[in-house]
Amino acid sequence: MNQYVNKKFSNQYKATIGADFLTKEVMVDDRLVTMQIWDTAGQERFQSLGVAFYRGADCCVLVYDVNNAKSFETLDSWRDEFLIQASPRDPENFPFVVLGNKIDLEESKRMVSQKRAMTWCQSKGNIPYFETSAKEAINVEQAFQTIAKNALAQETEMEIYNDFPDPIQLGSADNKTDFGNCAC
Amino acid sequence: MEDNFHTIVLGTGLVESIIAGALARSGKSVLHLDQQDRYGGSWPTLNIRQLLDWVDEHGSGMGKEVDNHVKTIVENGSAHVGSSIPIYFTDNESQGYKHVELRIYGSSIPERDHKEVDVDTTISIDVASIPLTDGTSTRQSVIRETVQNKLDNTLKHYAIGGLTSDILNRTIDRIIHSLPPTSTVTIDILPHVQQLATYANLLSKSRQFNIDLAPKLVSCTGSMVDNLMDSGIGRYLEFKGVERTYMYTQAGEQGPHFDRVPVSKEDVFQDKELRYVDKRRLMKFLTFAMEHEEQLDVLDGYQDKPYRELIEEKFSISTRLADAIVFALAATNGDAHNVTAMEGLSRTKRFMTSIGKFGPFAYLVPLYGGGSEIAQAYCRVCAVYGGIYMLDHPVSQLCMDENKEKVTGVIGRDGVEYKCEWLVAGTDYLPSSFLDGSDQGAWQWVNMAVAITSAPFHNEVNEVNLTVFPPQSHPYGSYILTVGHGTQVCPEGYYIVFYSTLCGDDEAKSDDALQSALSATLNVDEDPISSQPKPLLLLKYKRRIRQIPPSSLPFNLISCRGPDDTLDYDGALKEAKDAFDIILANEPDRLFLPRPEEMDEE
Repeated sequence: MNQYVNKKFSNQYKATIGADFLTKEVMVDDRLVTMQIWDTAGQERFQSLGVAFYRGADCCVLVYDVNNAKSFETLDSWRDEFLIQASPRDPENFPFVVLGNKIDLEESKRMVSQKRAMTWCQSKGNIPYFETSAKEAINVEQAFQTIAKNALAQETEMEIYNDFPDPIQLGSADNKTDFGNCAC
Repeated sequence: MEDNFHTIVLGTGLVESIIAGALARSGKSVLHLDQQDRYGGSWPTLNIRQLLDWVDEHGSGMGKEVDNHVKTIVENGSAHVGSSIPIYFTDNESQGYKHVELRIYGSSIPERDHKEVDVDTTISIDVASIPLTDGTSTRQSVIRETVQNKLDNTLKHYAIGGLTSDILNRTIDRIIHSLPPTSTVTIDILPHVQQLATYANLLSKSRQFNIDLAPKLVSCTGSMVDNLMDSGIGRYLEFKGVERTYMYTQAGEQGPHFDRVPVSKEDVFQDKELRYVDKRRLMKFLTFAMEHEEQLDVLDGYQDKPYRELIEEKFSISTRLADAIVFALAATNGDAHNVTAMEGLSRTKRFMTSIGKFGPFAYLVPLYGGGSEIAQAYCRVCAVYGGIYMLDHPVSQLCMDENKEKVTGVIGRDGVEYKCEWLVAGTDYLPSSFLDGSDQGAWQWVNMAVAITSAPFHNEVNEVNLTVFPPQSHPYGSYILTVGHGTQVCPEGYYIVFYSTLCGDDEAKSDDALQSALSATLNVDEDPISSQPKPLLLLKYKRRIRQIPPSSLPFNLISCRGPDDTLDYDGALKEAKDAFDIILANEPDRLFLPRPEEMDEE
């Protein structure tokens, strides 16, 4: 997510320490949308992501490493976990986006084919799929454009149901916040 | 993974979590463990399924689960060279509660479209005709089977499903238990089916409920709000304002009723119930309270007298309004009844100043639950700054140095010893030798109840309100917090009502006070002529407030209290800040949860 927001890439281990959530403004159909992108902050390492992390998410971004088959195979349980914990109103149509990352590495290292990934995405209700390189900034912009668009569509639907005044937020007042979840 | 940390924190209660967040934020390495598989420690927020499990674990009559894993590890010995002391978390945790009682009320069963005739819910058994034993079956088992078949068919007929075998078996037990000892018995199982309908309904919405077992309010001008805003942690949370405050009045021409408490000068003006003379006196008093520091001469000997005396004698305010000021406008603690005039005035001023900071209210409630939700926000900060999280990770032993003066670490479920310079622990994680050292008599209890209803008990519908029961038979009175779907703690059309009253020295009177608050608000006794809403679920319990004197602990072990008896979270924050100051006493330049850098860029 650092690449996307700050146009820089860090390949240090624990690169996300101190990076809380990042915000990014994007234009979607002439509307300015402020996205909040949250990552798991390492709390998933020992299955300790609390339910509060999932609250109010408008989109869930699942990221795997195309050079690591296991990271792809766990997508299924991450998707289930998200749906259980976040309990969205309409789980069938909740927006997910899958990113196959690290495509900049040499082809011989690749363990998950594009076809295999796309088949899985199709079987889960046509989840949009992007192959990205955070390092080379390949496809990152396009992926987040889709994330923003789908999250916003979800938000609009939710607003129809919601007849309560907006909750009170402490701290910086964002007029529009969407947030996703990077399981990377 | 590394096994050496600056601080190990045991338990994810609010105080522990704030300390964990503050230390990690200051660059200290933190390992944060919790024996349970959820955040919150002794500040739990539970869904329906978790709540039913919690009742099973804490309810009276249920066998207490023994910390087997601890016993096993202790018996097998460990590699630790110093001395280690076993921790019996489950035992400690269950001692934090008593008198846990759950009652599920029957729901009317929906009519089915294709229903020809009402299904017959009565069972008739000719007990005498069943042989005592017949091959493999006994009279007992034949009766059980008859009841079970009838229940299964009835539930199927009404499409009531999703119940656990535990709930079903207990219902069958209760039905069999209620059979008269006659030779033929006839019993209508409809009330049991109606009760199961409530279970099924609540379980089907289990995850939409977030039931806080230690509910508190966030004071708009309190230190918790300031810290959430200054540290940026408030960005993880959302809140609703407490829109209305009501006060219960038993006496008067109207009979028992609720009055809306005017909480601002605008409210006083608009109040239609108040007489003109009362309005004028109240306005005069509130104006004085706001400026009392500059007009101390007005107090004229009342400073240290009870707050009520000042209000009633000096300002000639009626008893009813005085109750409102003392218990609604000056209440941050269970001690409202014996607050001095000076303290009362500063609380009232603080209350009045809070109004309007975020909206026309003095208190906020966090969405999705309370202490546990705020704790998770602080845990996230800890994780963001490198803290390591392990939930569902039992801790079996505390390791001490050879002189037993200093904690050196803990041994976890995995048998691995994690070392630390400081140990911060919720009281449930303390070895019994430390717990026994504290004065048990001084441990206080809070009398709590939580109800789920499908209708509000006040005539006005609002999402969040506070209802104050001034003391009657009991010096402490009761506070009732009602929250609706807007706070994301229950599905649409439902309300959660939280009751709390201090036990003090007289537990029986406290029980009476709680019971009268319950009876005045909900039809808890299923009185057929009552106009109050009948709850779907009512849970009563008493929660212990534990305080372990630091003198009975090793110098580098800090114990954290669970929820105290105050209305807000400021005490928890202060406790965490004090612990932070002790741990980092040698680094006085370290700031407690400073503003994150990225917020300065904004």
